[in-house]
Amino acid sequence: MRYLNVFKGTLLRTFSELKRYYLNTLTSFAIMTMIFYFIIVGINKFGNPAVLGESIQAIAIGYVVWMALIGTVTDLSWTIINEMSIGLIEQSFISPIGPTLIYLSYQLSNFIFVIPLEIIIMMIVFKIAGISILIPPIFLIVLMLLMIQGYGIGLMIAGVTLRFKRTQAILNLIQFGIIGVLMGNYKGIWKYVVPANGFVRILRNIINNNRTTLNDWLYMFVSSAMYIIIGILVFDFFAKLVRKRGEIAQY
Amino acid sequence: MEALRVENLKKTYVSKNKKVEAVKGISFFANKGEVFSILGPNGAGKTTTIKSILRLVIPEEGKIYVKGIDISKHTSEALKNLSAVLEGNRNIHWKMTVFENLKYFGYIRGLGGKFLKERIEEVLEFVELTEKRNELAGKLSRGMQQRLAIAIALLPDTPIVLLDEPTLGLDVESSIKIREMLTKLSEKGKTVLLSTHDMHLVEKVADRVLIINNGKIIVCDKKTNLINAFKKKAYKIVFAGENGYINFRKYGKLYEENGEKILEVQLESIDQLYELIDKFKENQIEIKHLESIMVNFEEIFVNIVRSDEQ
Ligand SMILES: Nc1ncnc2c1ncn2[C@@H]1O[C@H](COP(=O)(O)OP(=O)(O)O)[C@@H](O)[C@H]1O
Ligand SMILES: [Mg+2]
Repeated sequence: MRYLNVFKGTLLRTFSELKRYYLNTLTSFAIMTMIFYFIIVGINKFGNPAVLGESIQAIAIGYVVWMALIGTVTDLSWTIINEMSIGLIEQSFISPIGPTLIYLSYQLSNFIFVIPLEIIIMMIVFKIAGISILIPPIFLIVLMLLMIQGYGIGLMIAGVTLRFKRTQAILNLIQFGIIGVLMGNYKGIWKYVVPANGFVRILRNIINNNRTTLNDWLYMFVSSAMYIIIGILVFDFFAKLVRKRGEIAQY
Repeated sequence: MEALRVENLKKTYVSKNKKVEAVKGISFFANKGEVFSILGPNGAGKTTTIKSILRLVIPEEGKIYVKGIDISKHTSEALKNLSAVLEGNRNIHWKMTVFENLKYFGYIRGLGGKFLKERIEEVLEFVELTEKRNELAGKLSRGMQQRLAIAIALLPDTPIVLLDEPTLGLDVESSIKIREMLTKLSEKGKTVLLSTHDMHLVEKVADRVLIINNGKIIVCDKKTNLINAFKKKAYKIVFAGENGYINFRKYGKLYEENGEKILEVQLESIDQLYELIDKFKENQIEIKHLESIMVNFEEIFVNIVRSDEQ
């Protein structure tokens, strides 16, 4: 019950922020879609017709994944930077619930509000790319698992932000770092350790032939679970560290 | 009954190139239902003490018991008894309305349901913000924002409420309002621990006062005792005659009121008073009236801190 209340709180907060910043959200969303549109137009003009369909599809999926990950990985850190600078963060640390569960709950509320938005983005991007906008349900489930992994990474980065405070430059870099991770071709153990990358291949298979293997699911569940668990542990570690250093709100 | 106990609290901040001993072994306790006030100049260690009690800072030495619970061992249990308004002007969410703020901060403490609903109405009424419930917190005046922060701290109905410099930067009217609220809270049986360098606040609301400077205790006593101790040493002398008194200017504050010549002096002991009276006799100066007077709390504080620094 206590935890449900915390969740209601973070939902309320996410909702009221969304409500007040919806113009902002809409503009950045429109800009992103426009950029994507021009990429597709560019490829159609100069691309090699033989591989055109496939590469447009790959780009569309990559784009959707990228959009899904940017927020999950960096949102919490931006929120924490904001809370530190305006003196709100202490209340989470004073709560008997504790900061780790509160911010985990914040991630979960974020997730719930972002999913519908993500689906709309996806449909528009797929439409532009000429892919069927009837998205298979398993595509969505895979995307959600991927986002959960992203939230795990988000918690780790937020922990680092708690400790080192001014991480804005890094957060901005991460947006583009994600592209690198998504496009990389990893071998051996890295194939399993590097986040997100493996999910992209699975998503492409789903669009192409609507097929996944048991191995795919095993990989996705283990990988998401590992990242979210490690994320929670890392965040909790830094939360304790800043208490010890007396630097919770110092900004 | 004891609500809060701090034993030998020590905190040193360590950063790259320097060490700051912010609190150097402070011990005190606060009883249930009293307003306990930590008084000290800037940098004395007030905020560090309050943050240590709230576990926002982990001290390297010392024990803190909240209703007998060791906060270092049972943090979450102990925190259930504490709520706080921290230093600075933003304990609230500016982009949310008054009502949303109360709901949000209530929820993230794990409160909810009927209890939270009713508490919100109660605290809104208590801080006189019922009418402003749908306004954005960022649009409120500074005084109202502070009252909202107090309302948020009162939501969980904890037995102990901590306030760090609650009247800092507020206009007189807002300060008075907050003073009244704090008095009401202690009347309701809440233990109020506040830090401040606002002497009026201490004078009006405190039961006991802990004066600290440079991270050390200077004195910890009932406010009335502190005032009495100094009251005995301050005297008002009204002269009967017209002449001679001017030579006594160097002993204190000399002024005229309603045509009467008055000298106010602060003395170390009663012997000094007798010496002074002897001197009046020697100079054939007649005294019409003599009384011991109250020094204001600000003077007490300044004197105590000054004598500590010498
Ligand atoms: N996080 C910190 N790191 C280093 N020094 C600090 C920190 N917080 C406070 N101090 C120093 O500790 C001393 C006590 O500060 P503080 O407890 O805030 O005093 P007060 O609240 O009485 O003004 C001051 O000298 C202050 O500069
Ligand atoms: Mg302070």
